[in-house]
Formats: sequence, C-alpha cells, structure tokens
Amino acid sequence: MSSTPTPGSVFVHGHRRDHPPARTSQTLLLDSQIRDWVVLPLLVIMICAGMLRSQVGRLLRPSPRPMPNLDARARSALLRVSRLRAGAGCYLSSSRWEARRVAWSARAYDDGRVGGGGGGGGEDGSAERKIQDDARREGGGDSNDAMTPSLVPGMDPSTMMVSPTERGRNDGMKGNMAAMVQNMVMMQGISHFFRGFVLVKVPFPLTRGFKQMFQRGLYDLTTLDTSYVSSVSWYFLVMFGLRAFFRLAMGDPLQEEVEGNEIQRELGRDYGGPPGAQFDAAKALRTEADNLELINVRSRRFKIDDAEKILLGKRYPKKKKVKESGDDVLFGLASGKNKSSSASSSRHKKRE
Amino acid sequence: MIDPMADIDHASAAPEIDGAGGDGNQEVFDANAYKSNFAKMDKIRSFMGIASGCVAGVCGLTGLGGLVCFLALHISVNLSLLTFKMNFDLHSYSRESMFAFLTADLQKCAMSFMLFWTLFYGLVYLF
Repeated sequence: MSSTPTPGSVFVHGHRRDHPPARTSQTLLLDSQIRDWVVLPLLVIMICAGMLRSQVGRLLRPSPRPMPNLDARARSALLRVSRLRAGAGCYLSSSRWEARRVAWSARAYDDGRVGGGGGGGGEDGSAERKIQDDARREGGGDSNDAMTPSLVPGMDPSTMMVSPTERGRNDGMKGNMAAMVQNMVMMQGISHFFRGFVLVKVPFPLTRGFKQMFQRGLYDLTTLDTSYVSSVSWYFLVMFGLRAFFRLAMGDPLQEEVEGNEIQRELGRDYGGPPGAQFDAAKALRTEADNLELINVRSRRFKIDDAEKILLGKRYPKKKKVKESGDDVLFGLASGKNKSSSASSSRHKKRE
Repeated sequence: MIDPMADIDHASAAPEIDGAGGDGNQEVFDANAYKSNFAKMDKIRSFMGIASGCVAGVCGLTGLGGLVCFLALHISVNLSLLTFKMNFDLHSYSRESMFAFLTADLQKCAMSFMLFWTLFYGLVYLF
C-alpha cells in the first residue's frame, strides 16, 4: 500500500507491517484519532440511544386499565382449572382431584338440574357454573371492553407485539415504528458525518461483493482489502451487538413476555390464547368444562396415593404377615396385645 | 477476566420439582421457576458472548480461528452450567434435548461476540 493519502481517506496511514505469523496480507495501522473520535463515541451514542428508546417506550405505554369484574373472575377460574389439569396430580390424591374436577365441570342445565353431581371438595362448588350464569345474563354488555392490560399478575398481555387486541397492536406498532424511525435517522446522520474513511477491520474475510456495501465513500481504494469497513457497517455491527448488552444491562421485558406467554401456552391453553378482539367469558368457560370432562378418560396414578409405599420402601407392611414385635408393624394393630402395642409405641418413640 | 458465573445466583434452580415420575404424561412444571431459571441462563450466555468476543479480539484471532473460539467457549459454558448447576440432570430443568440446550441462543450471542471481537481486535491491533 502506498503511503500517500488519497483525498477521501485522510486518516489512513499506510504502514507496511507483516502480521506476526508471517502471513502474506499486510495490516494497516489506523490513526488513533479515529478510535478516539469515531469508534468509541459511536458506541457511546448508540448505547445512550438504546436506553433513551426504552425509557421513552415505557413512558409512552398507557397505564393499564382495570378489567371488568366478570372477566377477572372468569380468568381466575380458568387459571385454577388449568392448574388442576396440568400438574395438580402430584399434590392431590385421586379422590380429591376427582372431586375438584367434577365440581369445576358442573354446569347448569336449562331445566334447573345441575349436571355432573357435586363432590366433597368444592369450596366454591359450582363456581364455574355461577360465572357462566352471570356471563350469560349480562349478555354481551361487558364484553364490549376490549381485552385490556389487566391487573392480574403474570398474564399481562402488555403492550408489546404479542398482544392480540386493537390497543395492543397499536402500541406494539408504535414501539416498532419508533425504533425504525430512529434507526433510519441515525443511519443517515452517521453516513453524512462520518463519511470517507476506514473505521475498523472486521477480523474475518469478506468477499468482493460486500465491498460496495461496506465501504461507502471509499470507491477509489479499489485494492483495499474488503475487511476494512466504513462507518455504516460499524453502525450495523453495534446495533445488532448491543441487543445482548441491553438484555444484560436492563433486562428485556419484551423477551420475558414472549417466553412467558409461550410457557403458558404450553401449560395447556390457560388464558384462551388470543381470543380475538374480545374475551368471551361464557364460551371459554364452557369449552374448559368440556375439556375437563373429557380428561377423565385417561387413567393416571397419583403420586400422593403411593406416597406411603415410596416412603417406607421395604418396610411397608404386607397384609399377610403380622409380626407381633417386629419392626414391620408401625401402625399399632388395634387388636394387638399390650406387649406388642407398647413395643411398637416405644419403638416409635425411639425413632422420633 | 471476570468469571461469568460470579454474582449470578443460580441457586433457585432447586425449586423446580420433577414430577415426571409415575404420573403418565403429566409433569409438575412450576412456571415461575422455569422462567427465572431461563432468565438467568440467558444472562449468563449473553455475558459469555461478550466476554468471548473480548478474548478473541485481544488474542488476535481472525477468521476461522475466531469462530472456533466462539463455538468452543459457548459450548463449554453451557456444559459447565449443566455440570455444576444442574448435576447433569437436564430433564428436570428443561424440556429440550441436549443438543438444543448446548446450542441455545447461538445467534444472539454470535452477534454480540462479533461486535466485541471487532472492537477489541481493532483496539489492540489496529490503533
């Protein structure tokens, strides 16, 4: 490379310098003023711009409106039912699970008869039915409110792009638009101000085709290695690379929202997914009740029922063998003699 | 170089309850634990991407060497997550396969790796 500076590249000094492992390519040394005045300031500017954008987004987001009562009740009912379906099998014994299932899926038929029968475990036995009745009675009155960002924790379809409603869509697009506009403005500004010199060298080889894209304003240096790029490509690099950095520094709420929704969807269609513009409480509850009734077909073992077996392992008392003073007898036979019951109780005390 | 796992408390990997035992298809899946575990893993991986970029830049690796360095570091960090925090029990913490876990978030980390690689390579070797 010659060492005479060409018009568009004032800052490039051409030093011949062999790269230590004796490669054939020659490395240019760039002026440290580029680093001080372009590379690092660009980085700082973009970090600040990103933070600004997120703060502005947070300010622009409308405060969550409280949801109508009916929807809140329906939603929490759906939440409980889905929890029952998904995992309660490990915490409840089979009879209680069954009782809950029956209670939740009970519904009122038109002639006043209650279908499904009641179970013992219904603290709000036919809660779903009550909610269904209310929903049907109120007709479509309350459902005119679009599904809004609600106060129910964890299921906030908050304003980002995952929200299905009108308002949600608007806010998501607003955020997107702001980002795009800002990106374009900055790109124009940067290519205007920092034009005409080499910024950095990307450490991997690029083909000739990229030359035109990455070396704007350096057309006369046709023999310059494509790895040396100009400011716009540095801008792109920084833009993509800082996403991870922002996730670390500020915690990306969008990412968490998206993943949270995915998990909830996996857990079995909790919140009715995107139900269109309105949350039809009655219909959702009805489908949920249908699903509950269907589940009964699967036979499953409940861990709680086997808990005693698992705990005791080998020492689980078998029905045929009745030892008078052995360790196997833990429960103290009702008809046991005094000696055996006192022996077992003393053993029990020693174990405690 | 800062240990990427310092100060990041991964101890709440514990509350995940493994219900996959004898219960048919149902699992007990605590969504909160799952979410928080994954948030932490995400943080660790992002940090790893940045740090490995710095390492590759300072060492002067170019081209293929840098790529190999990134892949090696990424996989080794995931392996050590697996070993030290999960005790090799992948299935009680997530539903993915081993390969999916080891190569998770590869693209996101790759972008930040490239940025910091370029930056540090330039700072050390070009300026």
